[in-house]
Amino acid sequence: MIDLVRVGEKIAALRAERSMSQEELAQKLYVSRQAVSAWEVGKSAPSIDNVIELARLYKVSFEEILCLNEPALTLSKHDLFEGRDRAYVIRGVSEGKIQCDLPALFHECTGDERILLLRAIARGRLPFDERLADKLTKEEKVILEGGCHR
Amino acid sequence: MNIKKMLPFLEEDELNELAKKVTSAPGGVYEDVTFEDLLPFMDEDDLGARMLDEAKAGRDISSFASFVDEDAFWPLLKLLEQGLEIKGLANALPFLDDDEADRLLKLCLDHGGSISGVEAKDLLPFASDDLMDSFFLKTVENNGSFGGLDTEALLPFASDDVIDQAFLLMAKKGSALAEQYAPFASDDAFHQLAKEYLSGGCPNLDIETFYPFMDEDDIKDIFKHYLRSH
Repeated sequence: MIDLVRVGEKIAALRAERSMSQEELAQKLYVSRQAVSAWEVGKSAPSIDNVIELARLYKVSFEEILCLNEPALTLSKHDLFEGRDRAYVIRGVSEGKIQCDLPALFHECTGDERILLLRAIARGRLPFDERLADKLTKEEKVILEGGCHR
Repeated sequence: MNIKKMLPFLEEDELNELAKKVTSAPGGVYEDVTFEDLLPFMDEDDLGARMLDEAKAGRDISSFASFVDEDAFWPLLKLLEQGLEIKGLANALPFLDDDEADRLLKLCLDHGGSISGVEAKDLLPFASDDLMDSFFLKTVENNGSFGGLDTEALLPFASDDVIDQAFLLMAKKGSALAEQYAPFASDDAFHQLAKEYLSGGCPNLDIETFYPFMDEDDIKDIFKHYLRSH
C-alpha cells in the first residue's frame, strides 16, 4: 500500500525544486490547483495518467513519484499518525508490519480504524494487549470476541 | 369462591376443563380468569399444541412464548416455511434456541429480509458465522442494505473471506460500495484484483481508486501495463 502523505511530500518537493507553483503544475497537467493541493497533503492519490505525467515533467521514474523501492520510514513513537497517511498506518499496524503501543494508538483512532484493529486482534494477526480491555465499548468487546453472535 | 386464587392448586384435567370454558366464554374471560392467567400452570406439551392451533387460526401467540417448551417452536417454523403468517412471532424470539433462531434467520434471508414481522436484524445476536456471512452478502447484493441493516453495520462481523468476496465482486462491477470494503479487504484480494485487471478481465474496474491499496510489485506491473498500452 502507498503512503499517500509521503507521495504528497515527494510531489511537493519535486515542485519546489523547480520553483513551480501549485497553479503552474496544475496548468501543465490540466487539473485544478485544488487537485494538486489534495495530492500534496495526501488527501487523494494522483491518477495513473497524472503520475506518469509528473514523472515525465520532473524527469524521474513513476517509482520515485510513488516512493516505491524506498525504505520504510521510522514513525514517531509519540504520534504514529504525524505526517503519515492514516490508512497506511492502520493497515500496517493491523498486518503487524508497523510496531506500536496499541492501546495508545487505539485512543487516537476513529471508529472504523478501531474496528479494523479489533478484527486483526480477533483473527490473531495482532496480539491482544490487556490495557486495551478498559478502552473498549460494549460493541467493540463483541467484535473482539470474534462476532456479534452466540 | 375465587377460582383465580385456586389456579396453583388445580389438577391438569381441571385446568384443561377451565381452559375450555375460558376460551369459549364471551371476551375470553370466565369467572374473572383469562387464558393468560392459566398459562403458568398448564402442561408445556399441551401449551405447545395449543400455541400451534392458535398460530394456524391466525391468532397472536405472544402470550404462549415464555411458557412452552423450546421444541414447540419447530412446528411454527414449519408453518412459516409453508407460507403462513404467524402473529406475535417477534415476541417469541428470546425463547428460541440457537438452532431455531438460525433457521428463522435463514427464512428471513430467503424471504427478502423479513418474515411474519421479524426482521433479519432482530436475529443478529443469534446468527451463526455462516449465516452472518450470508446476511452480509445479501446486503452487498442489495446495494448495501437488507433485512433492516446496512453493510456497514455487518462489516465488523463478516469473515475475511466473505469481505474479500464482496470487495472483488463490487470492484469488478465498478460499484462505489467497493471503496467502503477496501480498507477491510486483504492483500490477497488486491493482488487478485491486480492480476485480473492486467489480464484484461475487469473492464468496469476503476483502477485509479484501488491501485494505492496494492503492494509495490502489483503497482509497478499496473503502471508498466499502462505505459505499454498508451
